[in-house]
Amino acid sequence: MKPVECEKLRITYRKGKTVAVDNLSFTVNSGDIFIFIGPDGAGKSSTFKAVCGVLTYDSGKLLTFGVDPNDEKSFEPVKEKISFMPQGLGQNLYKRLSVEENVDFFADLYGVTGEERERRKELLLKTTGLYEFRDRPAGKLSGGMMQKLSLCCILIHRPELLVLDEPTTGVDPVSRREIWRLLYSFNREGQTVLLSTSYLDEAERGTELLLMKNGKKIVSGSYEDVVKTDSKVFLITSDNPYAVYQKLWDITNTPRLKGDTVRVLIPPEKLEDFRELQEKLNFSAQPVEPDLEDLFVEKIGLRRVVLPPVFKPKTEVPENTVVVENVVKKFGDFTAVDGVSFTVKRGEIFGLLGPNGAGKTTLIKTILGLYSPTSGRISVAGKPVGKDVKKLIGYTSQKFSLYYDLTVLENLIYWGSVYGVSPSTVKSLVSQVAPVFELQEFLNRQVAELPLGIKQRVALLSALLHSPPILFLDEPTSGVDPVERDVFWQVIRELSKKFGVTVLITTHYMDEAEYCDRVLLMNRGKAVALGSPRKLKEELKEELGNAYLIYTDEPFDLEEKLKSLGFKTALFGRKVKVYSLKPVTEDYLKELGIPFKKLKSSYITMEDVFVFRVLNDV
Amino acid sequence: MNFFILLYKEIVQFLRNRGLLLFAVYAFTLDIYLAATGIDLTLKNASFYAQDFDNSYTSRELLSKFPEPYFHFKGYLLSDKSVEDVLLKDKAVGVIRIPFNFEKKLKKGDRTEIAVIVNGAEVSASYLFSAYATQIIYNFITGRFFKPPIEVVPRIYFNQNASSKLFMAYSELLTVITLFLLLLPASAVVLEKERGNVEMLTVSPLPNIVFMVAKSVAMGLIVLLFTAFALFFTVERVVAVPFRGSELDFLLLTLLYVFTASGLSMFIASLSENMLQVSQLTILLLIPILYLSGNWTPIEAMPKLLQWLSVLSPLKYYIDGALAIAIKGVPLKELTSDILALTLQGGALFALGNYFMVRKI
Repeated sequence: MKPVECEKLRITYRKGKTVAVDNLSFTVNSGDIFIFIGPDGAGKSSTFKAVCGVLTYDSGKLLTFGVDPNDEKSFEPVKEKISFMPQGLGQNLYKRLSVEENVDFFADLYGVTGEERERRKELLLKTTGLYEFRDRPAGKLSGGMMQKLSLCCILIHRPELLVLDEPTTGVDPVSRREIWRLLYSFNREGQTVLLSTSYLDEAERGTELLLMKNGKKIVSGSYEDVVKTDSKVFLITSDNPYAVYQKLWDITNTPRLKGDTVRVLIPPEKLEDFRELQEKLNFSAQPVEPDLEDLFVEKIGLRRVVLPPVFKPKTEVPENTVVVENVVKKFGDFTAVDGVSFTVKRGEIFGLLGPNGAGKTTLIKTILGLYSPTSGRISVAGKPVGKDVKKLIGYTSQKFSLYYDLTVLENLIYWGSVYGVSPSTVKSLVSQVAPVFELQEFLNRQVAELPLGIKQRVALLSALLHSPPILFLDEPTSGVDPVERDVFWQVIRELSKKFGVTVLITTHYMDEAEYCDRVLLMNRGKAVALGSPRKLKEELKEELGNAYLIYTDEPFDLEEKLKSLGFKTALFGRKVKVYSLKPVTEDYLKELGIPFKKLKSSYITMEDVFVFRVLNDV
Repeated sequence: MNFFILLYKEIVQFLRNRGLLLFAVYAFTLDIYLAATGIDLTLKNASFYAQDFDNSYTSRELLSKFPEPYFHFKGYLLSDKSVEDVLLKDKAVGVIRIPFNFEKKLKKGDRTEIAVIVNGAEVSASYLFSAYATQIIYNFITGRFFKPPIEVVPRIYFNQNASSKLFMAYSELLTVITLFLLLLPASAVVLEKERGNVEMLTVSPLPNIVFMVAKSVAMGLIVLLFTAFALFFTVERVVAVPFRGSELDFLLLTLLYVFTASGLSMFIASLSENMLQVSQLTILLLIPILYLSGNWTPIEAMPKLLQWLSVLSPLKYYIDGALAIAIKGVPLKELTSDILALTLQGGALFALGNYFMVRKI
């Protein structure tokens, strides 16, 4: 019997007014690690809730272990076989109980007792590294640890099917790898995992994936089957990547400027045009394997954004626009920011990267003067933040800071007048830029009704109304899909490169680091690494060597073996990522006596940088 | 910066908040109506029994003087046991006991007694019952058996029927005004805190104080509009009690009160992190303000300590002034002491409340 069979599933809210899931079909086989990928609002959570019988679906066929979850009575016994972990950090935990008490509670709940309970508890807590914290209240754990504890709690009774809604969102890369390791070891015992994520780079970790957007399936299958395209993917390096990027729009709607490289998909019929352009602009183009983002971009298509010059700042700011020197911020005996220093240059896009709770938001708020630093010095535009500096700053907070009960236009007029821009100026500005931001049809609608991507653009626009020379953006892209994110980053880039706006941005998406000129990696309040993404990756590459992916049926054994031979490794589903200074070839593996199915060369990612820098730091 | 945009935004947000809007409409209409007509401070339908040991013409005549609809005669009782019984089971508010030879003694001019036994568990009814009963018995005896040397004739000014409707309608209106003045600005500020917009405003060049004042002014305007509506519609039309003074004076006095109360509201906002805390603190603050204002109990009847504290309740001066305008028809210019007290207190509270709020952000 298959864990989940689903055909033409349809789920609606508000009496059919909002369609959450439409015409969705998929099958989860026993032993799968099935990953749902999609932006916020794609319908992932609704589907999972329907699978677990938490939510009633409208139509279609859905069977969980052969039973219809809508049929509450007969579904009751099936619930024993399923564990469901809802979205959010530590939602199922009791914050005032200790780690051990939480696990015990869940064990009692599912009737796991005696020696069996103690044995499983010890095993789970030790694999997750929580054993030494077993007396600590759950509420005092970090986000990553909380999420690991949540997993322990639902794994204690060995469910046959594990349904996890975004278990890794906002969790630091190190904890993320540990969570995946726990899932793999659980999966190794033959149990099935159904999981959702908004990180595209996690797609490769499962056995099956399904890409969703707006309630509909875009593609599904195994990663290798799905991530296939007739187009060629190139990674372009050039002295003037921005010029190349601009010209590429004439050929395709898929170019993405990442740091000083451009990534693009070229369909076969356009290859000739591409070669012509290459000769003309004299850049080097390295063919690379497509990834899921390439596929997403090809399916949906990107949109070119050109900003009108209204956003050109009227005020010049000094070369060292934001200076942070040895800033410490303590709350009681908790140190949120611990001795961080950096300087943001004029016109630079500077990224603050790190997991939830790393201190990014506290740092930004301290720079903006919302908190006063415990020690250290901060200057913005050459001065401490005061009334005249505030006029030079545009800011969006994590929560988007829009009034949900006002319309888009009302919001913009309000924020305009807060910054001393008259309503008529706002209106004329909006009429110029609404087409660029694709906001025309939303101007007179209340913000509450809008999709996340639109809200994000309105929030950005509201911070730009007074054409500030400095922008502070706190996690502006959380949960937004790659296409929306691309529009957003194009705006940021235009502002920075064309108009010289300085941008300081925080994110917990490691892949977004690629869009920044320089990044500061933060973990537990400390700066872990600082530099351009390319430099950081190259530095790590010099230390660790090249990255390779080894395909296997026994990833755990393989990883053990590689580790015993002194390699640095990371688990990726049924693949093991290995880093080596010596070139790894099939012959070399055979020579070492390592069994494998396939070998592929891979690359160092920002996540690798983060994980290794943090591990070295500890 | 355009102050009108800030006001516009607050008012639009209030109007789009269905729950709050409905609550306000209810409070300024139906709630006042119910309070005015439902809560009655006169005796109505008070059940009583009689234990008539005399059973004479005079005793029966006396009992017949307890008129409906104030009283409701339920019957005769014989034993003391049954008297206790009806009172214990709340079957009656009181029992009138008339002794043997009542008529005979009266006619001879001897001294005799009538007992009025009341059920003290029904506090206000029992109090009114004994007062009414005493009055009736006294009138009956004096009318029939002897003339007292002096006669007391009460005459009530301003509210000739001594109708509690008049007082209750205005008292409830003032309570509702106070509630909304405490609640609205605080909830408007805290909603921004909850959504994280306060941060954005702090980062902006707009001084926080301007933003606070905009909220107080907008909410004050809303309450003023609702007050006018309640005055012209609910009080004067629906409850239909007279309004003697000038409505403009009443609204002007309310405007003064807006500053005082919204200052307090800012205190609430500065102490609260979410809407739940706002509602809790509002109730916590509203009850002493109401109690100390003399709205429920005359200030003169309070213990000395509370009498001194009552100076602090801004509602006290507002009630004094507002009732004087509404019930007595006093023009605003004659209420100088109330106006002075409200202005001083309002100015201080408004400045302090906003100061605290700005500091807390």
